[in-house]
Amino acid sequence: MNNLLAAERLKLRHNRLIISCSSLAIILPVMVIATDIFQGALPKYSIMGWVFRLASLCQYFAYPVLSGFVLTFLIQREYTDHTIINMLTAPVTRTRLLIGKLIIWATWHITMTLCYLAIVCLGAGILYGSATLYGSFYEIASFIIKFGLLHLVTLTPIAWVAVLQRKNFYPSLLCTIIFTGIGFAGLYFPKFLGSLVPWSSVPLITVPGMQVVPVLATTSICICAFFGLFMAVYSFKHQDQ
Amino acid sequence: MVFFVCGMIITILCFVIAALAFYLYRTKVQLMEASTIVDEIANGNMNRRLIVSKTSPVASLCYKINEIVIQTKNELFKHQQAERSYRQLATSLSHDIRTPLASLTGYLEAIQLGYVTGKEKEQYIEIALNKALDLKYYVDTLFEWLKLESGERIYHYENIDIHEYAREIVSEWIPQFEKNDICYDISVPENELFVSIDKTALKRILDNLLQNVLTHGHATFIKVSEEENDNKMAFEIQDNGVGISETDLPHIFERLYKCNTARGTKGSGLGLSIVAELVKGLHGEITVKSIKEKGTLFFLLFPLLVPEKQD
Amino acid sequence: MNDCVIETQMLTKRYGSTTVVNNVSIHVKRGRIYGLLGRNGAGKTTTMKMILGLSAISSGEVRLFGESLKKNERKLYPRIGSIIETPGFYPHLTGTENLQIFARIRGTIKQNAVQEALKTVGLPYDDKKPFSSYSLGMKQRLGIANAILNDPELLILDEPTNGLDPIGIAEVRAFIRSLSEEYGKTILISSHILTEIALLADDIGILHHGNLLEENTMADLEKKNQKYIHIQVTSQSLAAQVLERVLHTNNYTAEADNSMRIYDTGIDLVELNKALVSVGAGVSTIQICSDNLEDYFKKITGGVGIE
Ligand SMILES: Nc1ncnc2c1ncn2[C@@H]1O[C@H](COP(=O)(O)OP(=O)(O)O)[C@@H](O)[C@H]1O
Ligand SMILES: [Mg+2]
Repeated sequence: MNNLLAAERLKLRHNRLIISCSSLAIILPVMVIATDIFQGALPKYSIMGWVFRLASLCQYFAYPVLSGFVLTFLIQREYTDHTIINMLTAPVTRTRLLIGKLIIWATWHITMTLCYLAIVCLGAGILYGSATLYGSFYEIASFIIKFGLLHLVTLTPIAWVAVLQRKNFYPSLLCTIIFTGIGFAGLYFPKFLGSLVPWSSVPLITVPGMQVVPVLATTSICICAFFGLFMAVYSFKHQDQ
Repeated sequence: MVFFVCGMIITILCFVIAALAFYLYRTKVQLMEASTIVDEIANGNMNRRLIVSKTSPVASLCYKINEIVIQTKNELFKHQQAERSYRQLATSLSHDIRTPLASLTGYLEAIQLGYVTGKEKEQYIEIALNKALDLKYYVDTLFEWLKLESGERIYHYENIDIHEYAREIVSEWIPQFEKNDICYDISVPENELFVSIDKTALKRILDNLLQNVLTHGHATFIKVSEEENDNKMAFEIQDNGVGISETDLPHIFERLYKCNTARGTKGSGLGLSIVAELVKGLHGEITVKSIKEKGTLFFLLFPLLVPEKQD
Repeated sequence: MNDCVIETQMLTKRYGSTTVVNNVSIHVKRGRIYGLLGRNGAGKTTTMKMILGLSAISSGEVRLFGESLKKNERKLYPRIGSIIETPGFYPHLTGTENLQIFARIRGTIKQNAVQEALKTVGLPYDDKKPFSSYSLGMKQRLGIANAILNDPELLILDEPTNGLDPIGIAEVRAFIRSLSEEYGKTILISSHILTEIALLADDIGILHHGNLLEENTMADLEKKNQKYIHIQVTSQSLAAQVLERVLHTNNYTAEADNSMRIYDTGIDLVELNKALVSVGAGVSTIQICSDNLEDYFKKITGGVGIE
């Protein structure tokens, strides 16, 4: 597994797409926060209110899309470059190959979430002062990390779509956008439906004060995560090249 | 608090032990796999290799074993190849002797069984004799070649006037050229030039090349030239005959190589390999250019060994 | 001797209702070059993919080194090097980086394996040129370097000369020959060009519309390819004499077991027989062996032939 991950890391060298996705994920919150700082319009919101407002742009929209993009790219490229044949004739099981990819993707996703957390804390420190930041650091951190992780696990079906689509790009991208759309629209769903659909339960369960059935939401997220993972591995294992 | 710390320490220790156990187990599995592969190598499969991850603790051991196996295999291959080419040679030779021998005996048997009488019988005897002589010539060539091949030939260097000697060799062929209606152009410098060279080897080289023009070339024109150039002796033998095809050209100096794949054609396939060996023995070079249906050019270059001045 | 490195039994591949490989049983023997000949779409690539476990088998069986691939992948894949269709590499990385990636995943046999593999195929080590700007010839060579990285026993090469210029083809061909002759590798190679296979292979399998029409050694096929009259007599010497005196030909050879080959096929068989009988050379066989590989392939593929 070590070697596999090392190889995946080697593949990412000089990779423009990963670099631009990462930069985008960092520049976006920085820009928003910078505008806030220069406008000085902060008294409107409490510190958590500000964090939620920021999340509605970055974490609801941008991050899932970027993450889905990266995952699609990691898998789809092996098909378009025909490297899949060389990978599959290596003495490594197909399951491991796919898991290796997913680990790389998860690492990227988590790293980006942590970067985002750092940026938000920095911004909050400047806007609200360090004392206020200390007071609500735990709340901010748990919110952002929870949001990020739940997004990560509910995006596993993208891996399945990416395996099935092979050289195509659009199906999995469309899926990502649909998932994100559902996540946003979920805020206006009825309580039960919102908790039933995994992608809408993510924000419902993360943002405090939402109408949600926690058990149902957790269950649906778990089922979605495992279903995506299982189907991706299963399809990859039985795929004809 | 104490309990907590102890608990932590114990948990960490457990993890470390588990990791070590896993590591040991992995190494053991790798060694066992390596061992089965080495068994296969020992059983004679020299193509088997130990493949390990660069970071594995057994990597350097496996790399060393691979190196030894590859070396052994290369040596083994050399032996096998020598053996194979020897066998090929033996088969090919027996083949080359059987056909003319069958033909020769055919004539003799026809005489003995009384199929022919009188003048025809005389004719048959003459043919049989010629065939026997051809066979003798072939066997002689073969021995000469074997001697060359095994490196037993000793080169005797003598001081001779090279221009004079070249003229002498070529002029012996003039009657043959005329008989076959071949126009010839011989250009050898008039002056004297004493060099040290093995006479018989040089004669043999030129004879073989000229003979080839007659037997294989179907030429109407031949040009032979010799000159001293840049401290080298250069010979050129050029004809306007059938030429040698591009596919054959790289192989003509190989032993027993015959261009015409239809068998039963003239030649032993040894002539040019003898030439090549002799040229090598004289520290010279030979190159060939040929265009199909246009002609062939053999170019020879020998170092000019000027004899020491004797007072 | 049953020393097959690859053996397939009744291998079949169906896509829906179309059968693209039908009951193919090939036998690739150790140390030999097996040429799989077939036109485009005959099922060569599909067969190779099934052998390599890249494509699921509809029915039948594949045995590699006497074992089935399933459950033995970890043991068998290291012993095989392959190029299937176009050589696949990461376009933004250099050849060296690409090989390093695959060396990392597959393990290596020596410290500087990547460097040596590149040297063997004549590509520079550690240069700056990304794979995407390689010429087709260089790409193909990198594919070969990747296949021989671990000095495998078995090479599976799917149309390795596809798209190369004549010089490149000759180079690759010479290289594959040397892999077999000098390194004793077993090679399964496919091509849609008859001469390619004829020049390279020791054994040959002809695939046509997914069916294996013929499996034979090249030597046997070449015998069919020559044009000569084969005779078997009791006295070679008398026969030789007849050939020279009566039929005026020198173009013959005396073989073992009192048989002879006459390459002068213009000779009339009736006349030949009469002449041989008249001197008492005791003819027991007289036949014309004339076939031409290409005609032969045309015949077995049902007239259409192979490019
Ligand atoms: N995924 C697929 N679905 C349907 N037919 C296929 C598929 N892959 C290959 N084929 C068909 O299988 C046949 C054999 O293809 P292939 O093995 O690539 O032939 P070759 O390599 O000899 O040119 C072709 O007719 C092709 O159309
Ligand atoms: Mg193909």
